[in-house]
Amino acid sequence: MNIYPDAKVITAILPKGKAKSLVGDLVYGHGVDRVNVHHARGKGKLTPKKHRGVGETTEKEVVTVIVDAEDADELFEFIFFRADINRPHGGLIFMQPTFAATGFDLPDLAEEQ
Amino acid sequence: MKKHEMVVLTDVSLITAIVQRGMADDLVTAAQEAGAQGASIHYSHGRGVRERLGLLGLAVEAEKEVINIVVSSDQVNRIFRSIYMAGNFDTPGHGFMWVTPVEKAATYIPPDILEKFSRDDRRNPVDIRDSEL
Repeated sequence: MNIYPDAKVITAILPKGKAKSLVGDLVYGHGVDRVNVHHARGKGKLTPKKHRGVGETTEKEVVTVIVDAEDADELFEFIFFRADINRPHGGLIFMQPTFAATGFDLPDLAEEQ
Repeated sequence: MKKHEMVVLTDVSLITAIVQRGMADDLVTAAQEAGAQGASIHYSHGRGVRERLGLLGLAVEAEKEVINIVVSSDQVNRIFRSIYMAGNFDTPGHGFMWVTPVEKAATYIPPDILEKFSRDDRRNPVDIRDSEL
């Protein structure tokens, strides 16, 4: 069993439509293989009407990656700029410690076209 | 603010609450009234106390909403308490919540707020770094 004792969880809450290309860059550009994406709705105090979806909320994509501690700061920064978080309503990124994490090893398979 | 600049926040925590579907908006409003800026909410399916309650378990909604709120550490107790009270978490089956540490967070911070932080807070809670990108 491969256990990584000092892995970090990086979570990015992004506007709808940002996750797919980011995940592609993480997987194929940086070799990150522990990635999850789910959808959520965001409810912010300061969100003006033009940035909202239906009603009072905005649709979000939440990207969660598990990374080794030594790569964590670099990937945190990469995601921040790649996902364009540094703009109004650009989202939020945060990093948390873990006690332990497994790897996610897959057999060598041909890429699906 | 320059485009390639990241403001890293370090004194922050993550509050996560799992509640019955339909309750999240009221709880987020309570959190915002206590100082939270915003929240993300997604759906999930819960198991546990519903099965243990037998017939009474029918009163517990299996569909859940998961609320995530990142807050500054000096506000976490107040916001946690506010959510707890708004969600009636002392009633069985209404939900549960927890706080986890966040090593660092980053988001867009308007220049005027950033300036206020730098001027007012002697502890200097923000670490401003120029990216090499």
